[in-house]
Amino acid sequence: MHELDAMPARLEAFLASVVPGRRARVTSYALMTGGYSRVMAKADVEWDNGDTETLVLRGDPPPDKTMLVTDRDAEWAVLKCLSGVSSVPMPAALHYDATGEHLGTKAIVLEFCSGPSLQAELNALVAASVPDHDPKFLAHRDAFVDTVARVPQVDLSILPAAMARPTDWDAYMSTVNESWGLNERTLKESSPIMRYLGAWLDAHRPPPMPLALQHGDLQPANILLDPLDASHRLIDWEYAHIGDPREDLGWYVTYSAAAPPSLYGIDPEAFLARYRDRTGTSELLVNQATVGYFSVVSAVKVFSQIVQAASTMAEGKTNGVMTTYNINAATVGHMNFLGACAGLAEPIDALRSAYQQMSAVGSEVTS
Amino acid sequence: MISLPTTDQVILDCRRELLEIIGPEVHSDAAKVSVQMLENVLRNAATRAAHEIAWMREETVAMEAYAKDVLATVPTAKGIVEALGALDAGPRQSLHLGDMACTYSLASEALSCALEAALAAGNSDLSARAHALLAGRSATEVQIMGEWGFVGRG
Repeated sequence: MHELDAMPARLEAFLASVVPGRRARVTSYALMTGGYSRVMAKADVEWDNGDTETLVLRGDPPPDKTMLVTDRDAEWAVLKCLSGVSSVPMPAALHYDATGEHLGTKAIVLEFCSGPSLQAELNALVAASVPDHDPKFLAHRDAFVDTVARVPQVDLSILPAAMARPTDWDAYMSTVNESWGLNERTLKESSPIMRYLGAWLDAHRPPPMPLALQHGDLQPANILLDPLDASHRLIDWEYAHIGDPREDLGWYVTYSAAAPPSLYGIDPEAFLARYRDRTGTSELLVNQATVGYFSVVSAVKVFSQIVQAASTMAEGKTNGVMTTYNINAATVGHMNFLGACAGLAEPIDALRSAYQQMSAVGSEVTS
Repeated sequence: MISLPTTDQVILDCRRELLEIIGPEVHSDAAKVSVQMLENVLRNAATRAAHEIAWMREETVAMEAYAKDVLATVPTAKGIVEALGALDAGPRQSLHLGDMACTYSLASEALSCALEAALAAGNSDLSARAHALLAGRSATEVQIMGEWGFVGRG
């Protein structure tokens, strides 16, 4: 995928190998913008029977240009498992070059969705000076909440066997919180903020919830709108994992702070009330404080990779403006994470105490 | 050497050239995104070039003092003695940028060990001081960042 001129012929050969008996001609091939982690391209294809099709290719960038490292095999496995789950619709995952033999890098071939992303729709509303309490914004907010709420309700038994299945919530949180410090120790430059976050998060755990599927990067740029009915198609499942169901909520709070407008910020209580209604979750477990806590927790993977990329560049192993540009994303993260820690200690500790008291007397905490 | 225009002025002039001369000639979507990112990175680099030696030196003093205070309060804390020793053994007298960054990182490690000890000991005063130091570091980062938003997302 890195040699643009060679790609039409390469793609034609690949399609011939995965669709035996048919020949395809690639009539156009162009890189797509919008993604920060993978190389994306769009190809128009004409089959030998006259059918035409538009495909999206999603592959890894060259090693010296890689900022975020994720596993295409794992992502392909998730896409195949979820492709039949109607509650989390996504573009059809069509083919996979698992070795990079044909496409030059491991690459997933997906159905092209012609609709805009939810982020593009929101950006257009902002550009048109539509107020955030306008019914158009609120309709997008409600649809977004419904999409976020559907992911943790996926049956875990259908997920890839290779996907990590934590034994219990406390063990999972220990691993995640510890990863702040472990990742920091691999950096060329010491980062006291990462060490602080790991220690702080572990000292202030909220009430637990049953573990569930999480998308891992659930934000409006990763939601495509069907051009007919504006229904959602979820893309970019590279960070999917089994974790705390409040992670996707927290990640959205973190993400939208750097990429407004925030559908959460319009009215956090209304946002969370709808989420609780859709998932049958109690307010003790899903509230502004716990979502604030998970706004930090959920960021560790992406955040660590951003600072790791900067560290690797400092060692002279990689290059690319994407890495230096995204140092600012780490800055936004630092600012927001420290702000969250400052305001959350008391409410989180109070929630934990309330949960423990309820558990001690045998009260049911709806999860 | 010729010190004027200063490094930050030179970088900002490169940014101007990028925006006024090169940018309008760029037509591919992917290259336009790169230009937008470069504009931002050059602005960040100019701010750093103007101030980072002074900022790192000031913060190093504060981090070292904090680590020594934690060590005095929690003498059994792991790692602080070693981290302070490494800081002393580092190139802390040099003002060359690479040496300054090395010294800053060594002082940051001393702070990391110290704040972990403060949190583990449940010492609220020292924990609050750690948070304040980190908030100051974050404020410097925000100053470097200036106005920033994701470009090319949508």
